[in-house]
Parts: sequence; C-alpha cells; structure tokens
Amino acid sequence: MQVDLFFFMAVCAGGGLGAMARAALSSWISRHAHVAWATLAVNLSGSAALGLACGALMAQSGGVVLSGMMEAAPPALAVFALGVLGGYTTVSTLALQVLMQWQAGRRRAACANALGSVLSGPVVTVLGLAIGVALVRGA
Amino acid sequence: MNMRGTLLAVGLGGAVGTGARAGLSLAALHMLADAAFIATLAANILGAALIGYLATRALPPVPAALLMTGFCGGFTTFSLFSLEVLVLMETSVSAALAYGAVSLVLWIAAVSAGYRLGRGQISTIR
Repeated sequence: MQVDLFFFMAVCAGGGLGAMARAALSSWISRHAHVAWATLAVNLSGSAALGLACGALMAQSGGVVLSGMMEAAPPALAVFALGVLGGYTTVSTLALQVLMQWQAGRRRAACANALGSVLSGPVVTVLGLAIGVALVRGA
Repeated sequence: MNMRGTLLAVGLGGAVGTGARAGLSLAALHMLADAAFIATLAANILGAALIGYLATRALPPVPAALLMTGFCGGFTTFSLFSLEVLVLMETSVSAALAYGAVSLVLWIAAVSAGYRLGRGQISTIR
C-alpha cells in the first residue's frame, strides 16, 4: 500500500467525518432509546458497511480470501476502512457504557451489551460481505 | 456552547484520533504483516483506558466532545475489530475466538482501570 501525505490526510479527514456522523446519529437515537442502543447501531452499521465494501472488492478481483486484504487494499478502501469507518465506529464509548451499566447495578444489561456487541459485529460483517459479493456478481 | 461547536470538536478530535490509530496500524502492517491486528487491539485498549479516566474528570461539553467522543472514539475502532475476527477465522477458528474474548476482557479491564485511576482508587506513586 502506497502511503503518502495525501493518503494520510484523507484518512484523518475521513475519521473526522465518521466521528461527526457517529455523534449526530447517537444524539438522534439516544432521544428515542437508551444510548447503548445508539452505540450498538453505529458499531453494527459500520461493521456491515466494511463487510459490504470488502465483499464488493473481493468479487471484483475474483478472490474470496480476506487474509492479506489490507496489505493489498486499494487506497480508497483503506481510507474508507481505516478512516471513515474507523472514526465512525468506537470501542471506547462501548466499553465506558458497559462500565456505567455495571456500576449502576444493571449487570445483565452490561453483559448483554458487551457480549452482544462482540458476537454480532463479526456476524453483520459476514452478512455485509455476502451482500457485497452478490451485488457485484449479480451486476 | 452550541451544537455546531460541539460537532466540530468531535470532528477535530476524531480526525486526530483516527490519524494516530492509522499510523499505528500502518506501522504494524509493515512490521507484523499477519499480526497487524495487534495494533487495533492496542489502540482499543489505550482508547478505553483514556475514556475511562476522562469520564471521571467532569469535562465541560466541548472538551468532552473533543477528547472523549472525538479523540477516543476515532482512536478506537469496532469495524476493523469485526473484520479482523473474520480474517483470523479463515485460518483458525480458535484464534478468532481467542482474539474476540481477549479483546473484550482487555477493553473492559482498561476502561475500568482508567476510571479507577481517575477516581484515585489506584495509587500510582507513594
């Protein structure tokens, strides 16, 4: 992967935009539901979007192997994955919310949030991958 | 401070945090190749510890947006974590499960340690 200043600036700008999208979506969702649902929605939509992008790329290049993908990723995918979606999704907020739930005595909610997030993340990424592959092959 | 100022602070913090993590990831990709997921794990642990500490500081809205929602949020990433679990699963299911379990335990341990440090429940220097 060719890393230059322009690429790095694009990653940073993408991360800034992703973080702003997360904040805007979180504040909107948390007006209607507990803020933990907002973080879950952000993290799962970001994981699915990354799967979709990788799936589309895999189908285009004819391969179906993920390993080594980041090394060979075209700059646009790297900016999207490292920058936009990296800034959009978050582990710090998730971890803090789990801690706050636990300390508030809502221990089952804390465990469900932590385990549910970690288990469903890879699942929605697989779904995104499958949809990405199908979309490109069907087109 | 208005909503727009808060959102801009999130964007600025997110850009810096994302840049720092991307630098870490690209260096790891260069040096560790297949083990580059270590960089994501390290960023997520550090970001969780930092947000735990900052949560005890009672920051005003704009610094909280800049440092917590922005920097910590941008520095950590859940989407790459999800993808890395799948990449590991291609070669070893047990490695993928171990990565997921170890990540979760260390994220929570880190946020808890940062929080306890901020509350003065961990004495560092005596």
